[in-house]
Amino acid sequence: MNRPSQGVGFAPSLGGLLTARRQPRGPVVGTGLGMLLILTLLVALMGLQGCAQLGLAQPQGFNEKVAAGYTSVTSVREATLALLTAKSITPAEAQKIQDKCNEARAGLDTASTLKGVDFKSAENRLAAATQLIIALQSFVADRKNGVQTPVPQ
Amino acid sequence: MKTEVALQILLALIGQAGTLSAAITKARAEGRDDLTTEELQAFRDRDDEISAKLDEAIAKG
Repeated sequence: MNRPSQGVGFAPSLGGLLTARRQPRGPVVGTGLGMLLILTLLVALMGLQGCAQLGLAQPQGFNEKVAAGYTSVTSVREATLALLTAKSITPAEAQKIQDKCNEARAGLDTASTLKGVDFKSAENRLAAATQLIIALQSFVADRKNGVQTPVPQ
Repeated sequence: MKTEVALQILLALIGQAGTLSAAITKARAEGRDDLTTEELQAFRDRDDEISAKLDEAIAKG
């Protein structure tokens, strides 16, 4: 995993994009520049995912898999916060997602605790929490795209 | 507004992916094949922090 080169490769392209187009054209959001910015970020994200697909810095140990679960839960919470701030979801829906995130988090905590006692049960807890996180990520992605789906049960 | 939300979510995803990747890379560089309990706790702390922010935003409505 060569993280420094990723950062170096990403930062100049984004910086160049911003400086080259920094003209009085109104707000960035909702403009062609805004779309370009998102495209750049998407490419950066694909770079990160591609890195994982190449087998670099992929979670392998049990704690690393649990950490991946924690980061996913945190990402869902952050996305929910953004959607709530933008009024793309209601406070009641946000609360339901928060509750589900707490449920997934509790599963990950339990998996982590069980690791040294009953590894099979710990793996099962991790798998169940991962399934819930995937459902939550799918919900957030739908709402981000304006698709009205119910909060996962 | 939709673009702004997508941007925020993307930034959050990149940030989280980067944090996890950096922690794993550090472990490998030190010859370990897993994160320590202390390193795992840092991820819990980060989640607690964001969870508190979300609770606050929900309470505000």
